[in-house]
Amino acid sequence: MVWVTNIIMAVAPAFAAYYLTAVGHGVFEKSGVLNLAIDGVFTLGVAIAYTVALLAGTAYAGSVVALIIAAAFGAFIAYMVTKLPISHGAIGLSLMFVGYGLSALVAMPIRSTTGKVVSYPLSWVFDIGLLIFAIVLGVIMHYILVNTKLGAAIRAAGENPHAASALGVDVLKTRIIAGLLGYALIGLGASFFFLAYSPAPYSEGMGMGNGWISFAISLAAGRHPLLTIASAAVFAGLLSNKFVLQGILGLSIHITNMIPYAAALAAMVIFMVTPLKRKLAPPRSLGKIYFKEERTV
Amino acid sequence: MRLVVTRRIKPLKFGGIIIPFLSIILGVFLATIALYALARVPPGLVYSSIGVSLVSPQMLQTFVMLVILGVALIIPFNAAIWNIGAEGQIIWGMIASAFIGLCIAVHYIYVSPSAAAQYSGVPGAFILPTPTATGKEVVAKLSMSPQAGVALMLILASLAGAMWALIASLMRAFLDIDEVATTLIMNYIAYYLYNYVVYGPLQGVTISTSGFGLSNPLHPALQFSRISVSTTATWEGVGIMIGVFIMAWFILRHTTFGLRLRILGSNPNALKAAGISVRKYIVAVLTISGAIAGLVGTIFFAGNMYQLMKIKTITTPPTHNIGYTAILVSWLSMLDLRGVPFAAYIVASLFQAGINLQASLGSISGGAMISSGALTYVLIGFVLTTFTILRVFSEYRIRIVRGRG
Repeated sequence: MVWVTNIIMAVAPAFAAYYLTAVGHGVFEKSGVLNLAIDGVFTLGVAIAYTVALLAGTAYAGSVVALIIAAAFGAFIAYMVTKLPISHGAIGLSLMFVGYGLSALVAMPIRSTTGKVVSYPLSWVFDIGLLIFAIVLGVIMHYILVNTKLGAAIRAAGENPHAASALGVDVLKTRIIAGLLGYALIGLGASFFFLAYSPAPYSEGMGMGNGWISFAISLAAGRHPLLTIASAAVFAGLLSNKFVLQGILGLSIHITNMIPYAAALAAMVIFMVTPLKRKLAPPRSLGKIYFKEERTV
Repeated sequence: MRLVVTRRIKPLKFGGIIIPFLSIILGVFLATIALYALARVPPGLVYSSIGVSLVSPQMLQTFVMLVILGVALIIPFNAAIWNIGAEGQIIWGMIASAFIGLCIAVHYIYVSPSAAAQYSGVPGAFILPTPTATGKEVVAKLSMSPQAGVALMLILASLAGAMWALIASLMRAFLDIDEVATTLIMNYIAYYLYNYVVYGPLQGVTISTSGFGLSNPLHPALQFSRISVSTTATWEGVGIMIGVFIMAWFILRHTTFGLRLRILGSNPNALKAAGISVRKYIVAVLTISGAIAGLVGTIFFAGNMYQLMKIKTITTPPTHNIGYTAILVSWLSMLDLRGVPFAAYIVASLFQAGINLQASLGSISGGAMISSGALTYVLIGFVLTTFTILRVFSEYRIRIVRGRG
């Protein structure tokens, strides 16, 4: 039984971090908003989790604050792209830069005074708890998307916001809720990435690039919260066993570093060329500017 | 009270000038607030760093590269194809130029230390700074004329950049996979490939380079010539910039190709209705963009770096993230080629300001804890966000109306 707990301890924190971030990304994009700010906010979330956990002395505080600030970013993006005819790609990438920059500023004061790190307990009990927590959150998100009025509104806003609006859906409100929910999960995922998966002494830009990995995990599963369990498990397994993989395949560390990104590309291709495409296609209005000639908000 | 958004009949007069300037001022202001609130960076220092950068000759090299990259990105952006992968294309350009400059254009002779003296001063021979692990001196001798070597570097760099962009363009054209996501992810693959190369095929032969993630240094005859001692900008770089700019101007303004790619950006259905293959144009614009970005790889390698150096952390690539910064240039220019040099000038100043600010912060606190990259991100991030939002006003009118209904 030792090897089971070993595997769980090795993979569960990475899984929880990537899975929650990927589900959050999926929920937000289901509402029709192209989400390119993910990596910036993820990096910022990591910095906030580190800083707050250290200041408060408990890792839980880090998660909560990262969640709240990330959710604020989500609401801001949703509000801006729905209320004004703004390019989704432009606002997303701009906020990505802001997130990258702010992450260095947030962590700077405390990093210059101490090398200490506060993290979640390194025990298999906690890891199993985290694993169950992440999957339960994912299942709840799936339930919300499929079985509730809110979920129907989110999907409608993503497929055709004009029709949804005509049928009485408040597109702005729906997208803001999706932004809050989605980015709350992204913030939570980012906090777990640092506090549970890799609680090393903070260095600038920590976590950078992992937002894109989650982005790829979500796309590889067609933004479906339950399928994302599988894609996140594969990616988390690959990433936390990088060194094992290196040994077995005899590959250079630089090549194994590349694998998750290459796998993400491969997943996108496989997904688009197989019949899965029809079942899990991206929302039809994803990234499209929502604008009625003369409208009031 | 509610907001009413309506489209203007005509775009805002001088909007192409007023809006970028307003966003720069507002964005810098917001960045200053963030810098002060979170890291206690004195606002005066931020403004003085930007002021100094505006007239500093050091920003010239950044300016040259940003103009070239701005042009590279504006071509697909005009067709509504978003090339976020300039970073990766530059990296491929660097690797390709290094391959030519270090392996093809020169050959190495291993001699004993006493015999090395006879090569000093010999035209075309360059003794590497350190010997090999076995104590032999290494002499690099040109195998071809330096002009041919430089030309080959540029050609292969351009091809390598184009090939890297081609992969993403094919995925977009034939599988309809969003090019924003693919080009971005491919940047990371390129970074790791670069590290693989500096530890593998292109690693140096001498004791101080082999296994340290360093390549051999470039033969001085193949290095670009600096304009003056106070700048890292090179004559070759400036020449490439002018050439690329004129070529892009001609293609966008005076050819059917340019017209069609702009139609692709505004109304792809019109192009399809006219019986033109949209796929071909998607592939063409991205590949051209990658080819131009690849040239920047050579300018980096032969103009600044002279040597490939491993990427320690993924946040500090040898490109200094200029491929991302260039996105800002093409957006600030409102996708108008004439605006590129102006936008590049302003962004190059902000870029330099990050470096200057970090230097002055370092002298204050003793050890700077924020990298210049992060400071540049803050400045550029806020300017870009403000601009993205304010840009709406050039085509739309937003009015506040009292009451409901």
